[in-house]
Formats: sequence, structure tokens, C-alpha cells
Amino acid sequence: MKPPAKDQIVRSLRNQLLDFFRRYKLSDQTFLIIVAVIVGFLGGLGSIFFEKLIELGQHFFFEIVPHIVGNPKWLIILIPAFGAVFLAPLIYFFPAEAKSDGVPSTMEAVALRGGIIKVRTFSTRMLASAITLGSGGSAGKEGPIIQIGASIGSAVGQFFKVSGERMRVLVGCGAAAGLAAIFNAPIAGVLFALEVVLGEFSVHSFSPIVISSVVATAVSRAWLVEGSALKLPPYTLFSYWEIAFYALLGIAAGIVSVCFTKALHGAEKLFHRHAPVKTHWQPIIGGLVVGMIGFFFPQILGCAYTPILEAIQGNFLWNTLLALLVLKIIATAFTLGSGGSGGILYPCLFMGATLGAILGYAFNMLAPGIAPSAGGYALVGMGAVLGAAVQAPMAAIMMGFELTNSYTVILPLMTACVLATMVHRRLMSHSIYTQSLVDQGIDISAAREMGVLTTLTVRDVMNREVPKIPSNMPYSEVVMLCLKGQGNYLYTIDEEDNLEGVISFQDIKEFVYDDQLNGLVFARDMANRDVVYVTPDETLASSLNKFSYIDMEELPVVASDDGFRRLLGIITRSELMKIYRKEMLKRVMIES
Amino acid sequence: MQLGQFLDKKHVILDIQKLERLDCLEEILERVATDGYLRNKMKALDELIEREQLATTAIGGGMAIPHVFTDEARRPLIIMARSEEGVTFESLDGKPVHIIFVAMAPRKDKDLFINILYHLVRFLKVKENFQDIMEAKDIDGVLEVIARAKDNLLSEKLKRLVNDEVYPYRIPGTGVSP
Repeated sequence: MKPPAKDQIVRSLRNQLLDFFRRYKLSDQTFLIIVAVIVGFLGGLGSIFFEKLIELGQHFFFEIVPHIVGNPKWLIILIPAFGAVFLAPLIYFFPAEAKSDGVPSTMEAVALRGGIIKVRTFSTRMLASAITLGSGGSAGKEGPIIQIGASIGSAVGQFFKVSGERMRVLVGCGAAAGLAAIFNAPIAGVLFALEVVLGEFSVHSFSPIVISSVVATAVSRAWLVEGSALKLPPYTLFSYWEIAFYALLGIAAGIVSVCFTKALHGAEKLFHRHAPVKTHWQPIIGGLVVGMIGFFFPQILGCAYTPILEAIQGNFLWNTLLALLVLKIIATAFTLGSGGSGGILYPCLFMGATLGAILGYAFNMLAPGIAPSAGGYALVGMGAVLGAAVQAPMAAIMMGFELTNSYTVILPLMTACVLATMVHRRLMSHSIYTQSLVDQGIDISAAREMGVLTTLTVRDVMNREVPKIPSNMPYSEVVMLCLKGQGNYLYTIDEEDNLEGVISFQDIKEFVYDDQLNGLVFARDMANRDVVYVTPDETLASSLNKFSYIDMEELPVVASDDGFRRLLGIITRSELMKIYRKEMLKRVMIES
Repeated sequence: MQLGQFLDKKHVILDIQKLERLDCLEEILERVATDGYLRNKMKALDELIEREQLATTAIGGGMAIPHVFTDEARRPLIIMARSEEGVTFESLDGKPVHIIFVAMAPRKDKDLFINILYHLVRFLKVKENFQDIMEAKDIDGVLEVIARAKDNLLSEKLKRLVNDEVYPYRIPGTGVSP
């Protein structure tokens, strides 16, 4: 049977490229950077395409459809639900890729699946999000574009057959490219990819992600119509006393972020447990709720930046702002909780802006001399709610900075973002993303400890409190120590603290009730001298290996140099097993 | 496995001459033939003395059990020596020592060895046993007394570790298999 022509083309293209790389003897880092350029370019294009697709959706749902049915006023109630009808087949066939936010599953793919993302995620997510957002669903386009970018990165990585750490970096590149391109905020894209998607900062991944983000932003700036990305007015700090108000804003933002997280996951659970219809029909219910809210407050529909700008410019009264804040939380929770496809970044910005504007008015009334305008608070509030909800203060600070383009915003922004993040962390232990992973039974921070067995050394986990005894301790004292002590082992040392042997409680169990041996037998006689030990610089993987052939619950850690065996600590099998189990769990999950 | 199995007939000395403990140990090892038991008799003696200097093995009641784990020993063994006059052993109760059991074993037999020591102490603490050894006319008489120690040395757990293949049964006092 002849292989399909498409496969042949792909294969020959790959081979030619790999030949090229080989001919110029490119280093690993250079290869990654070149691939990052490709990912950034494709990510930029992807985000333009996605943007256009949403516009197309909006055109269809808000212009063509109303035109056909004669533009009745109440139609807006039905549009989000009508859009959800188109979502049903996507959810039915691809439940994993079409529902909710794409960021948690990207995090999961990075932490648990070595960065492998199904190529169809790209098209499914793009279509599903374009439908949800185009039909007025209350969500953002940033979450989906992060996943779309990540799936591009993963696809490019799979094309070049990279694996392991490099694959994860490429997924990060794609995520950064997507976010940078759609927000026109390259630094925030980089930090978000590192802080949220990869969950680590390392020099190795930093450069490719930066490159990818730069390329994607350049591509989007070149092609995207100006003004589609959020452009905020410049910001001025009036008085340094205002920072105290911004601190209060930060605390409020943390509380709003927790409310939003709880509402979103509450709605998810509600639909999961009590929905009267099958999963793929559920977004219609969500759509109806959103439609009804949108009938009174059309600002909460879709993902347009206009309401945010209006809030900043002070076009809303405080009661409107309060209504928008509360309703946005409800609408977003219903859109995403019911299975609609979209991100939470934009809703966070929306909530932050409205919250900031409300508090801005309040501070202005309390102290008009110190806080002259509400706009600045709306700006900072955006970053604060975002940083708290996704637990990524650095990305949020940079995003606010990049979107406003003014350096003066940095002090209030840093204050509010960090405080909001801390308040959120204080009130609940998970971010809006990790919470949904926890709901699925995935502990992302544990999963990130992958490779921990090879990256951690004994020094990092060893217990420095060792039960050590001089080797000339008499029998009865040794027995008393065994009876009183916590552990099952005693380590005998000579005068210079060198490890001589180990006494296992198991070994002497047969004599413990007899003091006949007193004066005859000493610790050194009871100790086993063939001690298997580990050194502080050994990896956990290597010590696990030693445990596997030694019947002991713990191993001594010994600094062995020039003939001395100085006893430093112990490493226990149970501690190691705890880490090992996490590793195994991860593998099982990958296989399934 | 019983105490007597580890005591070869050749390893019983009834009349130790030296009166000081280290000299006495030297005399004991010089006088017994340890082929098949010890690799290097002198090295074993050095280790025995080293252990003795760490702390006395004379636990009172006129007896001493000098012992050492040494890989000079091919298998666990006991050497018995008797002194009419008594050896000054820096014993815990200050009295001279009349019965000396030297015990040695390779390191791998730690558990068995501690059992041997334990049973030796228990055996000698019985006044009757002590007395009978002192009054025994000849080597066979001593072996008869020691043959009274019929307790199995090994717990169930130790039996699994040290089975008869490791140390085949030997007729007490002879060191030979039946």
C-alpha cells in the first residue's frame, strides 16, 4: 500500500530541515531558538486568524441573524443560546478540547504529558471559542489563544520529534506567542507562559519563549488592524499617598478574585451534577442566562474591550459598575460552567476595571485631594484581579504596565497585584486554573515535581537529625535507646564522628528483655558494619536504587572523602517513596 | 544448635599458668590448635586483646568471656580455659577469674554470636554448672557439664538465617560431623 502523499511531503520536509540543522552543527539552544521563531510566527498568524474568526462569528450572530428575523429587541436574549446550539456537536465529539478554558488543560499537558497536545485541539478550540465568543458568551479570547498557541508549539515540536524538556519549552513558546499577539503585550506573554503554563522560571526556557513572543507580537502588529488590542490611556499617579488606597484596592481585588473562582467552579459543579440535559446541550442553558443578563446589560456580552475602556474613562455610574461587576461574575460562571469555550483573563480584567472604578469613586469622595480620578484605580484593578485569579502577579504587573505604556503605574500596580495575590492565596489554596485541575483530581504542583527524582539530590531531602551513639556504648543503654527512640535504627560513630555501623532494632529484638549481656556486648558489637550509605550529592533516583536492594527503612547520608565517613543525616524510604509515588502516578496518567 | 557444638575437644585447657589477663589470653591461643577455625591465630589474638582493652569481659562471679567479632574466624568457636589459682582480669566485682570462655565469630554471624554469648552467660551464672566445671577431672568431664546446655541457640528467625547447611551439626565437643 502506498503511503498517502501528505505523509511523504511532511516526512521529506522534516528530513530536509533536520539535515540543514545537522549540516550547520547547531547547538541545542540555537535549534530551540530557530524553532521558537517558527512557533512565534505561526502563533502570531494563529491569533490573527482566531481574531478574524471571532469577528466573523460576531458578524453572523449579531448582524446576519437579527437581519433575517427582523431585528426584534428581545432577540439578544436568545443569541448566546442559539450560538450554544452550534457548540453541541463539538462538545459531543471532542468533550476534552471544546469545553471551558484551555489554560488548565495546557498546564496539565505540560506537567503530565511531556507537552504533547493533540493537533486537533487547535481547530476544535478555535471553532468552539469563536462560536461562544461570537454569540456573546461572557468569556475571553485569551485563554483559548493560549491553548491554540500551545497546541501550535506542541505540533511544531512533534513535527521535529523533540521530546521532554524541549517540548515543554516549545509549548510555552506557543502559549506566550498567542497571548503576546492577542494582547500586544510581549513581556506579559513571556511571564504568563513561564509563571502559569510552565510553572517555573529557567534560563533554558527563557530565551526561546522571549523570541517566540517577540516574533508573534511583530506578526500581529503588522497585520492586525490597529485598535483591536486593548489600548489603555496613559496613567498618572497624583500623590504617593494614593498607594495606600491602591493597597485597599488590592485586598478587594483578591476577594473578588476568590468570589469569581468560587462562582465559576460552583457553576461547573452545578451543571455537572444537577443539569437536566446532557453535557453537550448544557451551554444552551448557560447561554439563556447570559442572554437574559445581556438584555439589560449588553456590556457583559462577548469579549469587547469597550466596556473596560468606558469604565476607565468614567462613563458609568457607580451603581451600574456594581451591577456590571456582579453580573459579569454570574454571566462568566454560567458561560464557562455550562461548557462554553472561552478564557477567564478578559472577565478578570473586566471585573478588575469595574471594581477599580467603584473604589476609585469611593476614594475620590472620601479624599478628593488625594485621589482625584477613578480611572487609575480601574486600570490597576484589572491587573490585580487577574494576578490574583491566575496566581501570577508578575505576569499581571507586566501586562498592566505594557497595556498602559506608562511607568508611573508600576508602583500602584505592584502594590495591588501582590496584595491581591496574597489575599486570594490566603482565602483559597488554588488559583482559578489549578482549582479546575484539582476538581479533576490532578495536583499540578505535585505533577510538576516530575523528574524530581533526578533533579533533587539527597542533600535536599535528608533529615539532619540522626540518632547516633558512640560505638562503646554498653548493651543496656543501647537497648534503652532503642526502646525510647522514635526510629528503628541507631548509628554508631567513632570519636571523630565517622560512621562505623548501624544497629537495627529488629536485630536485637530477641534480647531486649535480658541484661545478661551487659558489660560484654557494646554498640559496636551489635552494629552491622556493612553499611550501605548515600552521599549528599547523589540524586534521589540513585538512592532509590540503593533502597531497592537493601532491606532498610532508611539510609545514612555520609560525606565520604579521604577515608573518612562523616555522618551527616539520614534519608528515609517513606519520604523517598512519597516522591516516587508522585512520579509513578504521573506515568500512569500519561499511559492512560 | 547448642553451645557444645561450638566447643571443640581440642579447645579445652584445664590448667592455665599465666595470672594476668592479656598474658593469659596469649597463652590460651598459643596452646590450642585452631586449624580450620582461625585463619591467622596471631591476628585473631591481637583483635581479642584490642577488644579486651576497650572494656573488661570479666563480668563477675569468677568468669570472663573474652570475645571478638573477627573475620579471622572461619566459623563461630569457643575456647575454654580453667585456672585453679585465678587470673586477675580487672573484673567488675574485683574477684579473680577461674573460668574463661574465649569466643570468636565472623562478622556475618553477628546474631548467632550474640546468642552464643548470651547462652554462655546464662549457663555460667548457674552456680552448679560453674562448680561442676571447676571440679571436673578431665576434658571429658568439662564437656559433659557443657552438654547440659541443651537450649537451642537459635530463635525461629535465626534458624532461617543460620541453617544446618551453614554450620552442619557437630557432635558436641568433637567438632566433627556424625
